[in-house]
Amino acid sequence: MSESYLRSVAMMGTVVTVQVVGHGASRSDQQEREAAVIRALHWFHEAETRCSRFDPASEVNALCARVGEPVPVSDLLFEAIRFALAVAEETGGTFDPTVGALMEARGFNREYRSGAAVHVATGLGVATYRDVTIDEARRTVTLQTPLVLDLGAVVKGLAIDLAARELEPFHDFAVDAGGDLYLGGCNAAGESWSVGIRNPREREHILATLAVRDAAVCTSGDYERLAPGDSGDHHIIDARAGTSARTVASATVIAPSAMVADALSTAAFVLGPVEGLALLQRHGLEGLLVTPALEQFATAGWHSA
Amino acid sequence: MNSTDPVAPPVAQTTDTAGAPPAADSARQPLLKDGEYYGWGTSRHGDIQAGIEIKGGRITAAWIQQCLTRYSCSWIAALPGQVVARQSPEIDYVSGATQSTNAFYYAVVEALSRAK
Repeated sequence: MSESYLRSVAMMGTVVTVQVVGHGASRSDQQEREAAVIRALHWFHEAETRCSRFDPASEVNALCARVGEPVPVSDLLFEAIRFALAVAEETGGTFDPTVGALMEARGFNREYRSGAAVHVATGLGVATYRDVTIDEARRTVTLQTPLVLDLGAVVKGLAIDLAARELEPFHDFAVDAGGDLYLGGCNAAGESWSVGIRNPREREHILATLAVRDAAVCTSGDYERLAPGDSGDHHIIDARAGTSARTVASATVIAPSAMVADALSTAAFVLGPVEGLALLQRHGLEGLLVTPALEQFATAGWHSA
Repeated sequence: MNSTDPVAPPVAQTTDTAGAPPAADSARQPLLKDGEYYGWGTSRHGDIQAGIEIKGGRITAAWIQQCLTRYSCSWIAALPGQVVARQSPEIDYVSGATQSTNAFYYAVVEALSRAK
């Protein structure tokens, strides 16, 4: 760590840490690194401003207030929606970014900084991802029916990727957004980054350790955010069943990009051990699904990953 | 813990799956300087200030200096002892990490960075 520049801030409801290995030879090299780290962290702020369901002034909430008309949106929001819809299609709607209203109904409606309740839904019909259409050429999004877009499974990964892009010139770096990671190059010891996978039932214990370079590692767990009350509901919704998904306790995915790892860890979590692994294998990704009884289901190449 | 061991593993020391002996690599790492150091860690549950004591190049004590979290500080009371036992956070990063431990972890990391 003595040979790293490291900065941690609270953002997107979590701790975001950016580390660049090495300090640079000259003062101007150092300043260049610091500036890149600040630009990297700024992407999290930008992603939150554009895409957070919890920020009443966010661009996505402004979009949700306009139904039945094509709305031009920023590149960042467009990419997040386009990718979320692709994953929804890929999982037959089990993963669905229009679950926002369901999540509000379950109590996931607090702005995490102030604790203030947020409610943006105007009419809570039974919307699905098919009610959202995009126009690639015009960069517009049209909501066919009132709905609440929840891009939570995509946006953090997208912000990690944008941050990583700022840091690529330095080769060796890490971006950690509350346990969702991108690891570039090597650590300060000149080795692959060592990444522990948290045991979903014992917070101080590590289930597995991976050697990672130039890849993202994201984990969706049922322990992250519990609904108020004692229902045991958590924040990952099975859109087809309308309830919290319960057959998986945590799902970890390694992918070339954090947006893919983030979204597919959520999708695999919702699909369950068998279909979830099939999804990852179909896309040539490695992953580990852990059941509430701590049974482990890994892709064929996981242990050599 | 053997407090006479002259070489402390650095914070970023890895003990990866291959089980490479960490001691073999540690000689090229700088010693921690003796003294008391403090660092802050932040989470959405609140902030934690960690303190560490370095003697003979090793972490001899770690504690929570200030606990500004919304949950009871006793929830994380076991963490400082773990840092002393392990001498460092053993791995670079944890996927699926919890916020409360992160806050203490980053507080220790920051404190350790001042000991270099």
